Amino acid sequence: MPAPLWLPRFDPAHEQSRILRWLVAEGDVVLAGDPLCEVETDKVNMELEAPASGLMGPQRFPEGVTVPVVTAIAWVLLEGEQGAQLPPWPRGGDPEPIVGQEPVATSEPAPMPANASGDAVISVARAGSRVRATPAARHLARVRRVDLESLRGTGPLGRVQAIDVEQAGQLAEASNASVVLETSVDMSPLLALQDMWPEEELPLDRSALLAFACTQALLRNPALNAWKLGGRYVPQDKILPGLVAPCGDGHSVAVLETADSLSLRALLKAWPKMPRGEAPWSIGGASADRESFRICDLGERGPDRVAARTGPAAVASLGAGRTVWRHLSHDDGPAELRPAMALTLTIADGPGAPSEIQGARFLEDLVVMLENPLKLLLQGGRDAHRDGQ
Amino acid sequence: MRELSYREALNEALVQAMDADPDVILIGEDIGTYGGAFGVTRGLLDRFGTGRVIDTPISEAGITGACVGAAISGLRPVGDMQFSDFITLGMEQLVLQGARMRTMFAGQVKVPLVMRLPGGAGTGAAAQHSGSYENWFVHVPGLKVVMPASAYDAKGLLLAAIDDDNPVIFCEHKLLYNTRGHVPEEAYREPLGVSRVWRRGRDLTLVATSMMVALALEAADQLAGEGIDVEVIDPRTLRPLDETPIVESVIRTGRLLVVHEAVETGGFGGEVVARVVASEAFDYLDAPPLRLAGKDVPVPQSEVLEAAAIPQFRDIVRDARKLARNEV
Repeated sequence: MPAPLWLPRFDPAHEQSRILRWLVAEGDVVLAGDPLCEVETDKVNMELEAPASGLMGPQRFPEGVTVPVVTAIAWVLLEGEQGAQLPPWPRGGDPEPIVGQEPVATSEPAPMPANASGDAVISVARAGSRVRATPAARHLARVRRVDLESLRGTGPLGRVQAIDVEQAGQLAEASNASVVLETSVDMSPLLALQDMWPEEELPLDRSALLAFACTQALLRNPALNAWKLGGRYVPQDKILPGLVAPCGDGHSVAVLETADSLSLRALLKAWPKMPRGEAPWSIGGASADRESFRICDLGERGPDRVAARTGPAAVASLGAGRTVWRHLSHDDGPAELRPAMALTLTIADGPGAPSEIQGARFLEDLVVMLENPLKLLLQGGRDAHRDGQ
Repeated sequence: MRELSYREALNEALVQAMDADPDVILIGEDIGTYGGAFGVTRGLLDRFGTGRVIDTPISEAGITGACVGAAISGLRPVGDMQFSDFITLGMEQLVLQGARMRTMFAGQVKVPLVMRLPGGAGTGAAAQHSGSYENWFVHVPGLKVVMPASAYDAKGLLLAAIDDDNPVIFCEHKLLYNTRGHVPEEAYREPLGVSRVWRRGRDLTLVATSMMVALALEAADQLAGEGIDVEVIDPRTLRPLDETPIVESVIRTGRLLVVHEAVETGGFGGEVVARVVASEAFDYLDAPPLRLAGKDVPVPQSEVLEAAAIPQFRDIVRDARKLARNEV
């Protein structure tokens, strides 16, 4: 029996697709898995693959026509079926092609065909909805938080195997060479503010201020707030700063959740409760188990400069040194001796990693904020940032 | 180190069991003067007499029924099916009676019988004298199914099977009778329900039974030269199956190939694959588990066709290589 080519439902919200292009003509020889047709979905264009090897049979709709999901749109004739009478289109009836942008009359979702055209369903599923991967690859990807979708499988028919996930990880590790950018913050405004800070108020902790300013700067520079997914850095919407705290001879990382929705006051209030030597640290919200950006402030007893490691999955880290007197110049004026904190931004290398320019912009934003602590204090969380845009 | 053939090892196990326990008796065709179709019972008639080595007419249903009856009345019979194919005639006695009695009578009777089934192809004996039927019995609650692949296991497992209070199907392979191996003189037991890991390897788990174990080990040797490290596991007892070493192995290797001589459809390989897929090894499978088994045809008589119908050394090498090289 000829194998139908289905327009599948690529995701639960997928209702219809436009047929962009037929990639083969009727009568062409096709092999199972060959792309036959390009269709448009809300997000991306997808190729539908041949459900079987044979001859391209009648194409049901011309290019440009919009078709509801779960519709058979062509036949592939198997060996010896050329010229044979075609069966009726599966799923009964004859759905009207929808032209242009008219809404689709979405009747109840039709069940995928069960037996005769089972092959077709399987190969269509491969075309869109699910990555072809072995259980071992899926397991490893889960454990290492690698995005299977981003991998290219080297197994038969492009199947992602464990080794592909491993190599993606190694690639990212190997490319962890980094870019280091450094700048200095004039600390005199903060020191002045701390001097006049009422004792009954929450302590104006420099690390807390730094964490808050970093969060705000990351909201403006999302490229710096990226996770490694399948060997590629992907900017993340949620900002999860990992705060390095000394722990014995090493350190631990507490992940500050809900950073992007906290005001500085709320953060200062929570700051004394920050656990030293445990992770993650949660101020409300669901627990997250990974940092999107690492902040390593070793404080006034630390070294002058700190170039910190990036987190296991984060693309960048910021190290803060102790406050030392340095000659700084503002607005091309003459250099003046100022209390200064060195900020060192380390950016991992690799696909998707931010550029030096993006890093420099982030640092610039950060310096402006830290040199205007009063303004930061008045700022809210993400909403305030949005309002300010 | 003392070496015996598989045949001699079985013979020695029978002698030692009969010496130790007067209730152990043998029932079968041509097991007396002739010494058994494959010589396993040679010398036993002279040693133990016609009262304990009972030659029967050509009636496999009779042999099986007599074994069941003897077992429930307190003896420990060892039946000899001459050719495993003829157990078809004894199925009712074995399956509906022998296997069911212990549970049907709430444990008031025990059925301590062993049925020896010389099976397998490779002798040009064609469709009615070459079958491998082990999985029929794997499907029967109440039976145990044992399949020794070496002389050592033949003796140790037969002694353990005779000790067992349940009906045990003891599947021998005709091509193994002349194979030799180390066999200690004492009456040792190899426990039922325990797999043997013949060879450790990290790339591929190869589960093989009976005759296929030797071929699998040869294949593993050849593949080692290609840098493919094969682990070979012999379940030895198909029911109850000791699946733990298989599951643990697949967790390490991510790849599974099951090889047996019986036909693939409904065969033991499917059981092994199903158990592995449903186990914690699932998350470690990095290729589809494969079966290599007898073709779904009656065993042909022609040597060429017979070899095509039964997994051969080169088939095992080919499939194992394909799996290890990610070609499946």
